Amino acid sequence: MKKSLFTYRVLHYCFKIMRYSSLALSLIFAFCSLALANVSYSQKILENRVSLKLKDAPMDVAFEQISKSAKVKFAYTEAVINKQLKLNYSFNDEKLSSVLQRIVANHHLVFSIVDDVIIFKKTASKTSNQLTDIEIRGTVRDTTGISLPGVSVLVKNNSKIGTTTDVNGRFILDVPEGSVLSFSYTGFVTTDVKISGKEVLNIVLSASDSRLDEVVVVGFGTQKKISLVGAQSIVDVDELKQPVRSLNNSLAGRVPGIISVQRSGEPGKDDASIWIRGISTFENSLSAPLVLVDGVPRSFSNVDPEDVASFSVLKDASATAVYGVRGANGVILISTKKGSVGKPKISFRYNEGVTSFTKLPKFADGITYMKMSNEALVTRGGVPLYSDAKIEATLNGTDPDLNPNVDWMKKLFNDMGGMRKANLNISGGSDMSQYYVGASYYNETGLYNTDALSHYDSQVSDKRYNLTANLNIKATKTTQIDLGIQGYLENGNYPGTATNTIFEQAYYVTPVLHQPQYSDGKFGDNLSNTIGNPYVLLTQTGYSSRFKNQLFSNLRVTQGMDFLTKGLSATSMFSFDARSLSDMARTKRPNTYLATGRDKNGNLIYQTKYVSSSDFLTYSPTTSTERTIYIEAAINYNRTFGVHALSGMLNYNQSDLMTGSVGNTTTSFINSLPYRYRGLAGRITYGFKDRYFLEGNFGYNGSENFLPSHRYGFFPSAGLGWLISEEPFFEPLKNLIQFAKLRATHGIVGNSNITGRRFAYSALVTTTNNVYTFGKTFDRSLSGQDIGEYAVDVTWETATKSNIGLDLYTLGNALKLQIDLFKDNRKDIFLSRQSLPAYMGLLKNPLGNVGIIENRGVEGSMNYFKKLNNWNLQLLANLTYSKNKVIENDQPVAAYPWLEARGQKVGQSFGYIAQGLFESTAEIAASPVQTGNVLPGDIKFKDLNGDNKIDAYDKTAIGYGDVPEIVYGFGFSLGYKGLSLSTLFQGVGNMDIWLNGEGVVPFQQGLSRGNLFNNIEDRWTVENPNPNAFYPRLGNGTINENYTQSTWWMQSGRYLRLKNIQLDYGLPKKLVSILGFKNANLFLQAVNVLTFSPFKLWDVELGNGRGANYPNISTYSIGLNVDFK
Amino acid sequence: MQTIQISPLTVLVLMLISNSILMKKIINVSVGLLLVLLTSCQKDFFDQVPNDQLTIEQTFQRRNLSEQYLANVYNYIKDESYLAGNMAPWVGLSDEMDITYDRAGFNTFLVNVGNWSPSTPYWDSELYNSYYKGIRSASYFMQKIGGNAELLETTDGKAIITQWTAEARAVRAYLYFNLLRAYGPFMILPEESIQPDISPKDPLMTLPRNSYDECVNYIVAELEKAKTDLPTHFTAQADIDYGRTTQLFCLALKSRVLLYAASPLFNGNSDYSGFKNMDGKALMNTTFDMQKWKLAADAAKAVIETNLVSLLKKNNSSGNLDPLLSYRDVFLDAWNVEVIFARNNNNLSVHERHNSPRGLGSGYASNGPSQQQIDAYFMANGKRPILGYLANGSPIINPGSGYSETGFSTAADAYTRVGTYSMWVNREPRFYASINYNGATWINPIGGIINTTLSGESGMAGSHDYSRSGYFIRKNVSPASNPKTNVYTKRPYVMMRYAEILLNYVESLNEYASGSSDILKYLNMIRERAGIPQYGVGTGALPIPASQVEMREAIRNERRVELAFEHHRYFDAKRWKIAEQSDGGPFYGMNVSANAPAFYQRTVFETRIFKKEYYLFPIPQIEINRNMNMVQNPRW
Repeated sequence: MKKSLFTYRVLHYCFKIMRYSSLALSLIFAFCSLALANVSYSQKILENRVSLKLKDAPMDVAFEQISKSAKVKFAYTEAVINKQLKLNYSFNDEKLSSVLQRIVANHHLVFSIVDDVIIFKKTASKTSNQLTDIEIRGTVRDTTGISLPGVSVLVKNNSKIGTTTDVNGRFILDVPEGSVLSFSYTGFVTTDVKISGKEVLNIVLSASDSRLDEVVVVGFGTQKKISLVGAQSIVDVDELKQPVRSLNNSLAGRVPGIISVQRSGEPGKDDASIWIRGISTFENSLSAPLVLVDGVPRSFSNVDPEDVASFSVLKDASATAVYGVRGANGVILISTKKGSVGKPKISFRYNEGVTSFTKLPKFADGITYMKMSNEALVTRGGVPLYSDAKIEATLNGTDPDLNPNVDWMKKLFNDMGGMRKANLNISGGSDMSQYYVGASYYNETGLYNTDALSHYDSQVSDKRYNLTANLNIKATKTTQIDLGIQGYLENGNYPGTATNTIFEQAYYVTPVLHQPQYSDGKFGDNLSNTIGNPYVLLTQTGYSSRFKNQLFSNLRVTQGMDFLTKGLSATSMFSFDARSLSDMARTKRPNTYLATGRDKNGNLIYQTKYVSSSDFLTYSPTTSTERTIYIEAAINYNRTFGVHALSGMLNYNQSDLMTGSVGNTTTSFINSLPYRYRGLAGRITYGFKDRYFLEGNFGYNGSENFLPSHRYGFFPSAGLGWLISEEPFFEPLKNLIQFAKLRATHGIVGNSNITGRRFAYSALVTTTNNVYTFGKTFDRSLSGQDIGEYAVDVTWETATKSNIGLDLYTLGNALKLQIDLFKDNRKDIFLSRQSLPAYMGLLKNPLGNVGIIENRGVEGSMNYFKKLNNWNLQLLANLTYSKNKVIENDQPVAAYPWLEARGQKVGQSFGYIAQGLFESTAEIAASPVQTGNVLPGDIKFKDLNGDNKIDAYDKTAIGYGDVPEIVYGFGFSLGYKGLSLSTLFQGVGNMDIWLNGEGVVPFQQGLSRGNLFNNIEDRWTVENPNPNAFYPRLGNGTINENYTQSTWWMQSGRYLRLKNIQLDYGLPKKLVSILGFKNANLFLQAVNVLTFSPFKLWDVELGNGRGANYPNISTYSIGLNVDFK
Repeated sequence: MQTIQISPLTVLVLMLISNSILMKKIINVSVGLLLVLLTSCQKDFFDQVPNDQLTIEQTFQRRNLSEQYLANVYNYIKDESYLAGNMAPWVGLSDEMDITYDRAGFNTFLVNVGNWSPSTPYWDSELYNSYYKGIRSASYFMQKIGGNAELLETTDGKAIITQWTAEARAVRAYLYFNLLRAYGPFMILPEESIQPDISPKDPLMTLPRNSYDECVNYIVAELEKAKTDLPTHFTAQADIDYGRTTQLFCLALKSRVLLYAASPLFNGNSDYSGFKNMDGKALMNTTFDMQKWKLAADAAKAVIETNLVSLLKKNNSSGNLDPLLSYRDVFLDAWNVEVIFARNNNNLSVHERHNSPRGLGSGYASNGPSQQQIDAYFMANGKRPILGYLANGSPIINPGSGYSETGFSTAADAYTRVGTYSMWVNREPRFYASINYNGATWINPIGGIINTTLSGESGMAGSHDYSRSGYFIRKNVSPASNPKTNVYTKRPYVMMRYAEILLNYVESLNEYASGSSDILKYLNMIRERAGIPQYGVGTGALPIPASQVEMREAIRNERRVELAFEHHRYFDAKRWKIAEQSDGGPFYGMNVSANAPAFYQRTVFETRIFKKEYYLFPIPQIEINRNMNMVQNPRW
């Protein structure tokens, strides 16, 4: 009990200090609550004995002495103490309970016990015809018998009398006889009980139909879910707990409206790109959604899923208009977990798994490679490059130093990597303060091969530590303080050479050029100015360690202002975030050689390719930092008048972001200036009978990019919701459809980001270093000045968004359907003006608000849940389809309609239409003239303009592009008792992959470099003129237009993936209990398990090119989840 | 601005104090209001572009910044040293040479095989757009430099302004000429640059092209204007100012402009009779005007008469003229007597890398002179080895030249090793200064024998860096440079030199004053320095070309050799209207896909397509689309 005494004392001081409270001390207070959380909870203290005599003691002195005698701490506000009163009492070994009874009865006080502290409060001031108060005590439980802490207990029509239940669900309250007590608790049906002499009440609250009371996060606030009129998706946060590093990578297929692709699986650099409802502007990068974590614009990729309490995606104008110039691309809102009243809840989750590549490209072996090289020459009249003897020697493995046959992929990569993930969190609190503290660890090891002999580790790996703390303090009855601190530290380790370079060289090199490492230890190479040996790049060029850290902090104060008018409150938030990244490269370059033969002693003869200047690592650091200050202040109003529900919000916000960098990262004066935003946002909602909902939103924003006179823009939106199923006329249909709601919204949102151009209203002078040199001996080297970009008076892009949605529940609420149709008309898109003639001589065409893009689509989701005895089944599915169209791009009218980019998708590819392979020289002679050496087996293109030659005029829009138009996901979850199996399949459609680059294009750069894929056998040859071959007739170099962008090289990139599968086993309650847990689950979790796609060459999600990037990975993990008692 | 960020904290503290001490509603109210009010009202939140950022106005208030602006104008003069680059495609597009690479970014390959149209933007940004950018930059400079306060305060400020303006004007004229020679008639823009925010309806947005003659007259007038305010020659300047435009630059450019204007393509070319603007204005003259040849001759003569430049001649150790050294060092000796204009900033190191042997010197050996160019070099006796070609491509060997294509040399001579293929033996010194052939010694003192056969050190096997003709360039490669050790010799890139002026002069003189004694005098001057017998005079004299036609032939042959790989041949073939013969058809080299002896076989490495429209580059399609008054060049 020593500890308890200590904490009592601390608490005592805290309470005393509360009277002179300040922020710092309230924090201490909060931590005290945390400390207390472990102490026993009981009302045993009421059994303590009191022996004491008081004579004319002032009230506060009396209280102090009683508390001392009873060894219990009292807490009270000043209002409790009547300074005029002198007390006279005599207690002789009396129970504290009876002592308190007497005192509270005499002084119109009530007491409650929180964390073994007795808290006194005044009862409601007496009104004239006061009925006799009676003391009511009791316990509130849910239907399963679990006690409910924090339930609000109020006297109906007199909210001044009331309390909340303690941690054990108990309450004591003096109420006038005959009054009605109302028990309310979020998520439960409010229950009223008439007091008729009953002194002990056992109340059972039943869970409410969640759809009526469920509250969701919306822009700058929360709202009842039922009243939403906008297009907003709420993600089940449990689904996000996947064994992957980044939250970004768990979203595809889970959320209707999110289009997402993951282009790399490299640890620490594998964030998926995310677009809400696709792309509506000319730059993919400018289409990124605005992300807010706990109300502050922040990146969310490194937030640990375990710490996430809610995840919402706002898609239409009514949901995003409040963000004004930042909302046009949609908004993602994340809030982190907060504590709730009750005993500390401790939970622990651990994953351990192995990773492997989903698909690694496969190259042809050396023998095939040489045969193909010879064929490429011979088939076009040349002489073979590799002799039969050489091929024979390679085949037999004679002197592999001189006749190498290297499987580079095998040389570079391991079969397996690993991942580990752990999270421990604790939450709880009293009605005065709640806390959530979480700590996470993530570790992923990549699949690179390393050289065991080198003195450093060049394996790619990523470790991350997250800490999250949220504290919610009720500073006064009407004042709420919320503090959130989160941070992470990420440590990455990478080879000395960037991944893309390693891959690039793996595609440049051939299997027969040289050994990765010769038998005598020398490293092979074929180039001299750069390293051409990917194995050397991977294992011998040093390593680079990177650490990245981030601190998020936010402090919010909310002041209830019911005294002014009921339902009014004000809130203010201050937040600062800091981020830094340091990349410390420790690199070197080893000597490399090319073996050319053997001398007469049998020793290898080498050509020296590179002589290293140093055997040791050299060091070069790069750092970048960023800090953001964000402030907001708002007034909220929320009140129900009978059947009318009214709410209003007015919010002021501003942010100020500054970046700094040292090292290789280019920076400029302009970029060093803070990036600033500010705006006003407002919302009015009105609900009638929970059946009709009206909502109006606006954002009024300013952006630094525009002339002072044109800086602010107003972005309004409005929405309408109609809960048809609540209409009397719907009654007959209720058996069929339990819930039906129609939603419609329309509004304008903006975007003020301009590609690479800040402060467009000021002209730029570009300085080029050492541009021209005068002087006989070159001694007058001058920098150059020119007008880089002229000043322009531009304004924001505006997106007019419309959305119509329908929510339906049917099959007895088991099946829930949601469907939304949307149209997004983006105009005044910033573009470099394309129509200015070149003779104007502008360095860069000035920006103008000239682009127009239309984006429309549909998204839907369904959720079916059925529980039967011990079984439960859930089916989930969602689909997003979005298609954009360029209406105006300010380009001059194209020479032929098929060359016109207007009417096509953003970033549409243009190329030839392949009509198959030429079958004969006669066919070639009779066809339009094609460039270069054209023989049978070469691709025949379509002459679109009929001028009998194939040229740039014959290119037309081909393919869907590499951003999918369709993204879908579906899955099921099947549970039986403690066992459950769940899956998520995710797929995309209407996406193409354009094959290009060395590797995919055989011998693009001649016969000296460039690997071949192992499907090279599938080609047109004279002996086997297969018209459907994958490759046309081989050739040495780009000798004709076979490899020009055409439909021949467009392949469907659609795929369906078994993205996640999870088998969960809840340990039997008995066992769990014996182990001292509340709950314990064992689970198997796997990511990217199976992929179905017509595309076979590389991981389909990597997209265009030749698959030369770190592939996505599959993860198989086993995990444990424990909630402690 | 400073208070704003702490205000919420202040509010918080205020609120907490107020809550517990006073518990007054009024305080709460004011806190609520404060929460909202304190965070707003900060007028200068967005006004953070500071005034001391460099603005264009300040650039023209300070001397050094203005000079930097001028330096940038100079930089629009294309650096033509890197032959495989896109700044100067002229050598790779001509019959002088092949650039091996057929991959993206090396556009000469695509054009040579006929894949070219107005909408293939091969050089839109490097050439067409860039010239106009330079013109704008120069115009803007001339517009603004007069108001430079710092310069005006110094004593010689006004003189500097005058000179700099003239320099910018000369550069601008040069850029206009660049447009003219490649794209034909251009739009003469207003003296002052067009406002960037001009209305799309303004006539300046839809300027029609000016006629060829108007363009020529404009350039000439501009050069005259610039000339008056410039120093005579770089030698008249302080060492530190070498490289600026001078009077001699203007005169030499004028000579080139007028030579082109007098040539058959542009002087009375009936092929261009339909080349008209939308309003019917003819863009090309269709009647021949002999006077234009006179103007061209006078312009060249004017340069000669300044006596400021001469041909570089160097003697060997025994005191006699060393022709190889003389010709070679025109390009290696910085600011030598022959240089009229040179560019200090250049890419010669890249040129040298592309023209160094691969195995010996880590070069790329990838700029392959054509067999036609090899054949053009004279024999040591001054005679032409090849007089033409038969229909099957085999050469018509000049019987008296001593040229042979069989066998190998049995002894070394001044320039060749023993065992050299006879084709390359007994050629003129300029051949040995300009061409690397199989079996030649690498010029770097490290030495070694260049081998361009299939499996040779610079051969096709083993790399995409090789020459498709089996030759690569030796001209303008310094013996001191070694790509293997990343050592390159820094030197100015010669862009105008005296030999061109002499050749301009004799060519135009032969046209309008055939038989003038000056013709032989100056043509022989070139041959003398080249170390080959002259026409009619000196040891081993050759017969004087008998007719105007023969003389024209002799002059053209001389020009082709003397100015090889200096970006003249492409335009010469066009203005002489011989491009159908010179630029199209089979291109020959050695058989690089074989080892010796099959290697020594004239072999077609490429069949080039030349179409009549190629006489002028196509105007980028996008410009035709943008400007309704813009007409395309003929036949495109």
